[in-house]
Amino acid sequence: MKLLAEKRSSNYGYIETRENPNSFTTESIQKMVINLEYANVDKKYKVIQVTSTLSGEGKTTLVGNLSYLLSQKYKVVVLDLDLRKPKIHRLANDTNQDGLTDYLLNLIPLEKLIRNHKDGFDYIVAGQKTSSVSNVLNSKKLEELINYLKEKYDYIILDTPPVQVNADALSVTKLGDGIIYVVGYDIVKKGLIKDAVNSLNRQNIDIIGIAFTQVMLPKRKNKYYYYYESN
Amino acid sequence: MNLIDIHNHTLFGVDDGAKTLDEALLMIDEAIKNNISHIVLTPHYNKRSHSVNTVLKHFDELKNAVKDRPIELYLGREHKYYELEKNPVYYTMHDSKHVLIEFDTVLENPIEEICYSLSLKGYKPIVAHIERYHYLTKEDYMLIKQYAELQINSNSVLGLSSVKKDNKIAKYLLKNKLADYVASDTHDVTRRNNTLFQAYKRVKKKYGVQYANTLFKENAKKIIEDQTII
Repeated sequence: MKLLAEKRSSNYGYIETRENPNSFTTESIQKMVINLEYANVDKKYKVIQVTSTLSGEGKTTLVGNLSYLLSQKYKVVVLDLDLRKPKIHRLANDTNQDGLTDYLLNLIPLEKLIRNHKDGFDYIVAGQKTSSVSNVLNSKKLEELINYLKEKYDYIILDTPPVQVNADALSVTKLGDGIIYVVGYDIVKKGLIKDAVNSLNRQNIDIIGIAFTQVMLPKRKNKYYYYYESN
Repeated sequence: MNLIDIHNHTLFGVDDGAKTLDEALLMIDEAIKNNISHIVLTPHYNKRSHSVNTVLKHFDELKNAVKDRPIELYLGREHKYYELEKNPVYYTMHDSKHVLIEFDTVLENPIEEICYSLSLKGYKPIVAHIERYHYLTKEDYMLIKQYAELQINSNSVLGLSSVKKDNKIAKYLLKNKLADYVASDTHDVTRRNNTLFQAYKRVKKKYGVQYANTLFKENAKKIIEDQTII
C-alpha cells in the first residue's frame, strides 16, 4: 500500500515554481529558462515543442512551470496539441471545453479560444474529442492560428504527445521552431530514447535541449544546495 | 447497523432488472434476508431506458408496497457515460452530489477525464463495478481515485463473476484498500441475485471488520445523509 501511495499523482493545478520560489526544483527550471534565453539570442526559437519518449515523463508539469517562469518576462501562450490525452486545462483547473478542435471546426470565435491563466500566461485547451487527429494537426487553419499567435506572443509552447506512442508528435514538428525533449528519470530504456531522438532529427527541427525530470535527490547531502536554500 | 445497497436494479418495469411489482417484492424480501436495511434503487439511464416519469411513478408504487417491511428505499440512477455529456441535469443518488456512472467494458473510455470534469462541476462521481474495466492499469486506479469513488460488485468479491479477471481485479482492489463501496448490482432472484451479506462476511474475515464496515455501511450512509440539492 505504501509503495502505491507514493506513486505519481497528477495534481496539475499545483505549479511548483509558483508555490515554492526557493526550492531546488524551481532553481533548476529557472536555470533552464536562462539556458533557453542563451540559445535564443537571435530570437529564432519562438514556437517551442515539448515532447518525450513515452507518457508520464512530466511534459505537462514542465510546460506549466516553464510557462509560469517565462511569463514573468515575456508574453507566453500554451497550446495543447495532445488531442488524445489532453491535460493543459488541468493546469488552470478548467474544463476541456471550447478548445482548439472546436475553433478549427468554426464552432467558436478566436476570442473565446484564448483564455488567461491567473498566473499570467495564456492557454488554449484541446477541445472536444475528434477521430481525425492527423487531419486536425495538418490543417491549414492551425498553421494560420500559429502564425497569428507568433505576431502577438514572444513564446508559443506546444504540449505534444510522446514520440513513441503515435505519429502526432512527428507531424507537429513542422509547426515548431525547436524542441525541448523531456526525459523522465528511470522510466524509459536508453534505446527507445535514442530511437525517438533519431526520428526527430530526421524531421529537420532543432532539439534545443533535454530536460531531465523526476530526479531523486539525496536529502541535504550536498552542501551547495543547502547553502543556497538557506539564503 | 445493517447493510446498505447502493447499486441494484430492483425497481420494476424500467430496465433489464425486475419486470413486475411481484418480482421486485421478491427481490426486496431477498435483500431483507441479506441483512440489508437501506436500498438506493439505481435503474439504468442509457440508450434503451430514458424514462423519468415511469421511474418516479413506479418508485412511489414500490414504496407504498413495502410500507410494512423493515426497509427504506431511496432513488438514484446508474448513468451510462455518454448520457452525462448530453444532459446537464443529472438524477443523482438520493438528490445528493453523488453520481453513479458506468463505462464501456470494451471500448477504452477516458474514465479519469470524465470524472475530473464532473468533479469540477461539484459532483462526486462513483464508478460502478470498477473491476469490469480490464483496460485500466494499476496506476489508473490511483489517478481515478483522486476525483471519484470506486464500487465493486459483491459477486466479484466472492469470486462468482463469470469473467475470471473481474474476480482477480476485485481481489487486488480490496487487498490494497482502493475500493470505496461494495454493492449487489442484482437484476433478479435467480441468475443475478443478491449476495451482499455473503460478501460482507468474506471481506470481514479476510480484510478486517473495520474495512468491511466502511465498504458496506459507513460510506453508503454518507450518501443517504448527504442531502445537498444542487
